[in-house]
Amino acid sequence: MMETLVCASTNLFRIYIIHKFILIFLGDARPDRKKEILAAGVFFFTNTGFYLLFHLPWINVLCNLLGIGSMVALYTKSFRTNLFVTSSIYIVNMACDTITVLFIGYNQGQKVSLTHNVITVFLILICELISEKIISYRRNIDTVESLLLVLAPFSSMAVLLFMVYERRQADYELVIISLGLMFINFIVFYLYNMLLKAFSRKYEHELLKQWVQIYSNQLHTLLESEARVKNLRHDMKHHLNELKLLAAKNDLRAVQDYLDDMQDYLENPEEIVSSGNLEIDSILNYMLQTAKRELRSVHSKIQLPEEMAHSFDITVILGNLLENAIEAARQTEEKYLRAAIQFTKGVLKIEIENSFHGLLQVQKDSKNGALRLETSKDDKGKHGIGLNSVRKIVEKYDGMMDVCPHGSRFTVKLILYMAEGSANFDKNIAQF
Amino acid sequence: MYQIGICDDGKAFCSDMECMILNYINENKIEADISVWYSGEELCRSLQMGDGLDILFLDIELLEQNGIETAHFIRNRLEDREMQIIYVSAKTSYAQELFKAQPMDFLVKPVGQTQVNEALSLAIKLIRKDAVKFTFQKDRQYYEVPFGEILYFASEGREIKLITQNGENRFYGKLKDLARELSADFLPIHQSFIINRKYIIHYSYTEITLSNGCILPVSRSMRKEVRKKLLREDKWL
Repeated sequence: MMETLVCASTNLFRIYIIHKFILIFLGDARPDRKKEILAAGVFFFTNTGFYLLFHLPWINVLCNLLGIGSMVALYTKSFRTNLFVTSSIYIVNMACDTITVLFIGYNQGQKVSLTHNVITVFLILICELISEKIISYRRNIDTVESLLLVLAPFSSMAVLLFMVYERRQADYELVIISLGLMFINFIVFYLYNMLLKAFSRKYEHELLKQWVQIYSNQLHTLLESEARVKNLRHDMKHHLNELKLLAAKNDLRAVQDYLDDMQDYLENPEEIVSSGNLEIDSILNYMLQTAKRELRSVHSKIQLPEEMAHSFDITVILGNLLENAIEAARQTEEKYLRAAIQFTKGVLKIEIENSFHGLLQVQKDSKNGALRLETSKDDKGKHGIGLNSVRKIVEKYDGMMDVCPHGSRFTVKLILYMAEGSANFDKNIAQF
Repeated sequence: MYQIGICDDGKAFCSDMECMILNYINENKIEADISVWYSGEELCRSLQMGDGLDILFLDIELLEQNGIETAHFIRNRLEDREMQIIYVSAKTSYAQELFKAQPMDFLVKPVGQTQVNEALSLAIKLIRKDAVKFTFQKDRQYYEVPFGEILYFASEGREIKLITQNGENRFYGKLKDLARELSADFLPIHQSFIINRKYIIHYSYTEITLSNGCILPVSRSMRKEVRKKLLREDKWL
């Protein structure tokens, strides 16, 4: 009875960790959730059943490999990738098993070998957490400090090992304590993942809220432009009459002034950018309107064809870079901002320049020698997401980004290779 | 002597532009002729008669045959890739097709003197650079080709193949040595290709398309270098 319980629960926890392991490698794919639960369930029951029934090493090995393989298969169609991921995960499992054997030996009787299972699971959990941290660092993904989480399985393992060596408790006590510790670890791990999910959902929510604001701003801007044209057309008779009278008086000066007034009226100061790309115009108008309100000198030059492809990615870049630039320029005396965007010959060029007070922390990236910025913003977490998403998009389009502070000016320059094509913004935001 | 053209259906705009161009060429002591057309058809007709233009200010919203069609005619029917086309428009949004004619710049109406000056000085700089000649030796004779006509150099064995708009030529030499002598207008993209950037109509990370439809690969080892050049050395707005 005790054996079944321990085996089942360690196995369940192990499969959950394996699932997390697969996500590290192939997290971008989103397989059907029902199929995943089914695969994990079949794996769990066969594995536990065979283990308890046969106690044969080769059956366990086979069962594990097949189980992990079928779970991985939901994420990738490539056989080579599957083989690689499955074997890496299995090797980690085996290694943890072996290390546990080294620690407590194998021939100390049935009950200790149950503790052995629990310790192995703790070790696998530690491996998973560490590799998750390494991979997310490599990919420039920000996560909440997850290395601290390693302390939970680590200390539980230390406690168990201590008790195994001391041998003061009865065997059944040891097993119950192991189970309890494992349960606590599972809950900590699970809650941590829930927290991460809530965190990213909150971020997505904020993003959507911002987009609603940006769109409503654009709508307002366009309505305003429309209203101006409408008003002018409505009063056209009156204006023509007025002009005729002035012309009849031969007052050229007055005619010119009148025409200038009409032209001024026609131009909506809110509609700074109208390139014919709804998403890009929206974010640029929103950002540049903010800039004009808060800064002293704002310049922009935009040369984009209508209906740019990949406009969602471009808006992410523009939104983040302009937000940072405005924020930095606001703290200076000069309050200067210049944005230039151009698309020619398949290359999108973006250059954003702002005045800044020069107190920016620039760190050499240990990985590629590129300059990395540390912001002075309070909300460090949110800010990091911004710059990192820019970096990720630049990578996605084989692009390159230069960040150069020089004197009191700060310039970000980047290029992206983009093949022409039709716009597909909606699809992108749906994926988000 | 530069031939400068203005094509716009607004007569007042044309004379205004003519004035500003005259201001520029008088101030900078440049010899130039200015011609004006009020429609795309008229312009195309006189271009077809053989009157060449070096610089053209072309209105996008022409009445009958619009600027896009006119530019398309110049580039593809007349096969004139040398002409520096500067689009002029009252709108700030541009159709995708406009970019296919590789305009030198876009000006938004109302156009001021500074914008005209900037556009003209860049156009003249580009034309002058193209007129410089490349010399090579073949069978004890020297040959000259204006750099502006060269599409690309390709190495073939011990020879270098020089591809121009009108044909090709071969001479002995090493591409590596040649690369050192060439200006930044020529972009090495492969150990056997150096191309004239003027004729590039599309860049991607892995290959480059030239105006004659030829697609050349960017070698793995050169990709990062080419990208860096695009980012750091190119003319920016």
